[in-house]
Parts: sequence; structure tokens; C-alpha cells
Amino acid sequence: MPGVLIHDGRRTGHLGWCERAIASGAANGVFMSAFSTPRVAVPRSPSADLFADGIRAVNGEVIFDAESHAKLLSGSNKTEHYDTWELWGPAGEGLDSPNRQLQHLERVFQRQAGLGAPRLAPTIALDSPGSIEAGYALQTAAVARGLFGEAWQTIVGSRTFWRSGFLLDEHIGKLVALESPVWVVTVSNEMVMGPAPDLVDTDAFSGLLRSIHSLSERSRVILTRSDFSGLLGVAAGADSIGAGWDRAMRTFDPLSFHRASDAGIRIPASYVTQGAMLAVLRRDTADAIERLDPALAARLRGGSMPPSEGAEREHHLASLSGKLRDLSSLSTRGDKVQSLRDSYTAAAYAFDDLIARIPGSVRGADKKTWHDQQLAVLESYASAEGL
Amino acid sequence: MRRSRLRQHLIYGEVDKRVGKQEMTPDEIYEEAVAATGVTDVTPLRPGGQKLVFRGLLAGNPVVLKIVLLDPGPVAQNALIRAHREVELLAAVDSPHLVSVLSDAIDIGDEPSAVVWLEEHLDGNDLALRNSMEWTDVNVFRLMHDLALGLAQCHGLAVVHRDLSPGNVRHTAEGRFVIMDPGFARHLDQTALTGIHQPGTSGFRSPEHVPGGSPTAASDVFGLGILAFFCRTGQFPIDPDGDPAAYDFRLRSQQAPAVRALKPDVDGELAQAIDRCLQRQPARRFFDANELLTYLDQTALGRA
Repeated sequence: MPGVLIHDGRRTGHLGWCERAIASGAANGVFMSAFSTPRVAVPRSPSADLFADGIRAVNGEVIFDAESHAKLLSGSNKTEHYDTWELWGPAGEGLDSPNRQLQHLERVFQRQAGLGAPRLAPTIALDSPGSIEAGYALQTAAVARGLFGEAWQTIVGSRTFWRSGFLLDEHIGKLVALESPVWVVTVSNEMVMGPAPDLVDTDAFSGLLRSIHSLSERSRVILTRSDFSGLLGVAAGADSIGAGWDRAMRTFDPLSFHRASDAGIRIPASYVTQGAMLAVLRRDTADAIERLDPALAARLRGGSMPPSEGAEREHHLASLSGKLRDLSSLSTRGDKVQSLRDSYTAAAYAFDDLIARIPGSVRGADKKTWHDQQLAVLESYASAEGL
Repeated sequence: MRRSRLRQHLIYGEVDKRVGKQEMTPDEIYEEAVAATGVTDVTPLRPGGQKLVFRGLLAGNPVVLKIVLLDPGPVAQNALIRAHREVELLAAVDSPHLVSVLSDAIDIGDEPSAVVWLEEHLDGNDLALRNSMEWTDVNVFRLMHDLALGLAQCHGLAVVHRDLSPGNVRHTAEGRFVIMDPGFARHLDQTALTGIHQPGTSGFRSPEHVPGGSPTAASDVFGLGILAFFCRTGQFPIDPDGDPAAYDFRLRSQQAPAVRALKPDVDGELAQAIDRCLQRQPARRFFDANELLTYLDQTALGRA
């Protein structure tokens, strides 16, 4: 089921929000995470079975991701739900030995089978395709295929990994030989500074798109935690992207797997999605655009101003899904790249116009983040592929 | 008689200077190799590098005796272990398109100074690309199909050939294309023993053959694509001339041209097969010979 997949989260009401988004067509399914959903219900968190049943009742896709790559990061200790899944065997945590690989994979697959979810093999986050860890990741993927021939496979890499040129291509080549029907791909960040995407490393994201292109020649590709940036992946061949309403759902934030040292009250900042600009701007900026020109504001948003955070959640996913559907309806990568290029051209015009007319509200930094960096990645990929 | 023949063979093959590194003398190695394999009427076939090739008789049937001289040290010993494993695997294979291995790999010397094994003797000639035959679509298809059949046996055993080049393909008198020197030989080559350089023949190397890379089944697919491209166009897809470092750079950075850009009359399905074999990125090629074979069998040439 191509489309937007909502990542898991711990906010009260998560299941209901997901159900509504899927029922309205703003999303196609969910990623369930061992970190966010307990196997057994606890107060304010439904059990995994209940969660899966609720999503399937609205015809949504359910993918259970053990997220072992996050568990194995140093500092990951937000494990009160994770531990309920009992995913590691007597050999201990890690994927650095055949025993550990086999024991972990068997447990993960067993849990996924119990949920009626696809067998998605866990992996480790990589910094280099030439590292010892990359060998462990290949071994783990091979064992997963040996256990279950139709196993979905996971690739998680840092920017350094995706920037590694021919070594990356070789690694992807070895993985492709495993013939996975689905590849679930993640860019792992060492640090996330803010709510906006960070695509300043053009070479890394160009390598990501090149790899997605290669993988998608034979298989379905899902680009997790990517949100609007994931549209670049769709142009390269991905059919689904992971998104959501919180920062940790839109980008891979290692801190989201850490127990907060100060768990005080947090009020999330308020944002409004500007669909025609492929951007998410602060609500006060959205208000300024509304005051400037209500008709223009409605066109840029793709609808009326969301009156609440709940409405913004649905507006955001609907905007993203709409754009993803537009791209997916095109048959060739060349057409998809050109369509996205056209969208960025229109967005650039809107940014330039707003920066000129309300410079205190819409700034050059917004355009750089939401437009310039993304377009640079697209053009780098397209140029290398002759698109 | 044997001694003088071997001495001549070694000198002609320019390996005499390496002989001193062995704990055994070349003559001792030769004598023990012949005794261990039981071949008779041994005559030199082909000199070259660290591998010596002889023709002989085994129970009256022609066979090929191969001797690979080993340098001392752990790298060579590791290569030897891999070679033993692959010889054992390939000895179980029976394909008309892959040279038959007739014996186990036999170590010569207490701390092996050499390893020897027997292969079937093939008539015909090594693939002479430029002048031996007219490379029509049909003949290029036969070449690809035959070699894919042979390679599929290797890849099914997780053995990678690593050096698919004209010198390692025999065109038999009855018209079969047969792969020679399957993967285990590559482990024992001098180039492989260094741990730095990759085996392979200039002009017929894949991007993964560049130092730092690791050839896989998809690399053999690339090599097969080079052979087909060269046969049909008379040109290399990636120019190997000039500085080796520049060639390596081109291998890793340059996409081969479409075969129809040089020969517009190439059959469309055959061109697709060749072009896909020659994708710079291994993930975009046929990932092994079996997948290539499946494609070839579904083409009009394959059904004909």
C-alpha cells in the first residue's frame, strides 16, 4: 500500500489520530515501534494487538519495527515499552555474532507474526559500508532471509554512510542480492537541532537517492522518518514515506530514544503546513501570510487555516499524501523528478515573494531549509542519473 | 627429462626468480605433483605467472594439471583454505559450460609450497575476440547464454570467478563456450596474495575490481557484459588504455555507453541484457548469472 505511513509515538490519543488520518485518506498505515507501543497494555497505552486491530479496522497497513538500530545506539535507555517485547536471546544484545543475530531475528519475527505484521528484519545503524558493523548488517540480513525468504529488510545509515560513494554502491549491491521484496531505509542523525529538515549534506542525500533508485528497480522502498524530504525519495523510486506530527516522527532523532533528564511540561511549538511550498512554517508566520493576502495564504496552505493542532495534524498529512499521490501517479523517474522540480520552482517563487513582502516573517533561512537544500539534492541526483 | 621440461617451462613463464622463495625446489614440487595426481606423459601447456599448466594423461584420458606456487605467510595460507573449499565445491559440478575439476586440491610440501589439481582437457581455443568468428547477435547471445550457464553453477555455490576474460573462455571445436579457471584459482594468484590488488584482466575488470572493492557475483555479470559488448562492437565499454589509476577511476565513475550507441542494429533484447550487465552500480545489474539466464531465456533469441 504505497503512501504515507505514520510513525509511532507516545502521545495520548495516538491510535485515534492514526485511525482518523487513515480513514480520511491522509495516511495509509502505521509503523509500530517497540519503543512506543508496549506488547502488553499499560495505562494510557493500548497493547500492540489492540493498536494493530484498530489500524486494520480502517484498512491501514501495520508494520512492526523493532528499531534495534536505535536500541543499539549508545545512550538509548527509554526502554520501558521496548523491554516488554523480550527481543534478545541468551547470547545478549547486539548483532555481532551468529548466535545473537539468530536469536534476535527469531524473536522479532515471532512477535511480528503474532501481530500479523510483515517480517521486517532489524539491523544496526552504519557509519561506513566498509566497516566491521556493515559486515554484521549483511550477515544479519542474510540470516533473516534464511529464516524467512520473503523477509523485509532494513538499511539504516548516517550521512557519512550515505556519502560513501562506490563503497555504498557495493554495499547496496550485496544487499540487493538478498532479493528482499521491501526495503525500509532510514537516515540516522547524530543530532537534530530543530523541527526543520537538515539536508545541507547534498552528497549524502544524493547517495541516498541513488541507493533508493537502485533498490526500487526490483523492490518496494519505504523511506522512514522523512516527511516532506521523503518526496525526494519518491522521485527516486520509493513508494512510501514515514511521517507524523512530532519531530521524532518526521526525522530520526536519537534523543527520542533517550529518557529525558528533565521531563517537565513541554508545549510543542505550533506550525502550519504550507503545502504549495512543501514547507512547514510557524503559526505566527502563517498568520502573517493570512493577514497579507488571505487568498494567497489559502492557496499556499492548500485549504483553510487549521483552527487547531488536531486539524493541523490532518492538514499536514493530507498535504503530504496529496503530493505523494501526484508523484506516484507518474510512470517514469524522469517525470517524477520534473514534477518535483516544478513544485520547487513554484515554491521558490512563493518564498521570494513572501520574503520581499513580509521579510520579518518569512526569511531567507526558511527558503534555504525548505527549498534550496532540497532542490540541490534533487538536482545532484538528477544530474548523475541524466534525468 | 621431466626436470628439464619443467625448468624450461618455469623460465619461459618468468617465475624462476620466485622459485627461491619456496621451501621445495621447482623440480621437487613438480615431481611430487605428478606423483600425487598420478598423471603421465606430462607436457607444458601454458606458462604464466605463478600458475603452471601442463597437459597429461590420467588413465589414458587427457587432463590438465595445474600447479600454483605459494609464497610463505598467512595471506597465502588463508587463500589456500579458500581454494580448497572452492575446489571441493566445484568438483561436484557437472556443466558443459564450466571446466570440470577432476581432483581435490592437493597440497605439496609439509608447509605447502604449492597446490595442485586436475581439470578436464578442453579442445578448441581460448576466445579470440577479434578474428575467430563473426560476432552476430546470435553468436553473442550464445556466448552470453553459455557463460551464464557455467557461471550460474559457480554462483549457486557462492563462488565468484573474478576474472572473466578471453583467456579464460574456451570455444570448443563443437561450438560450446566453456569457462575456465573458476574462482579458486583467483585466490591463489599472486595479485590476490598481496591483499591489496584485485585479480582481473585489464579491460575486463568491474568497478568492484578496483583496489578497495570486493568482487561479487554481480562483478562476474559485469565481466560477461564486457565480453559481449567487446564481441559485438569491437570496443571496450570502459577504455582500459593509459594509466591504470585513470582506468580504475573510469571504472568507478563512468557509466558504459549503451551498446546500441555504437551498434544501432543490435537486437533490442540483447542490447538490454548487455547494458544491464554493464551498469556501473552492482545493484542495477543482474545480481547473478541465474538472473541473467532467466532474462536471456525469455528473449526472442532465447526462445528461438
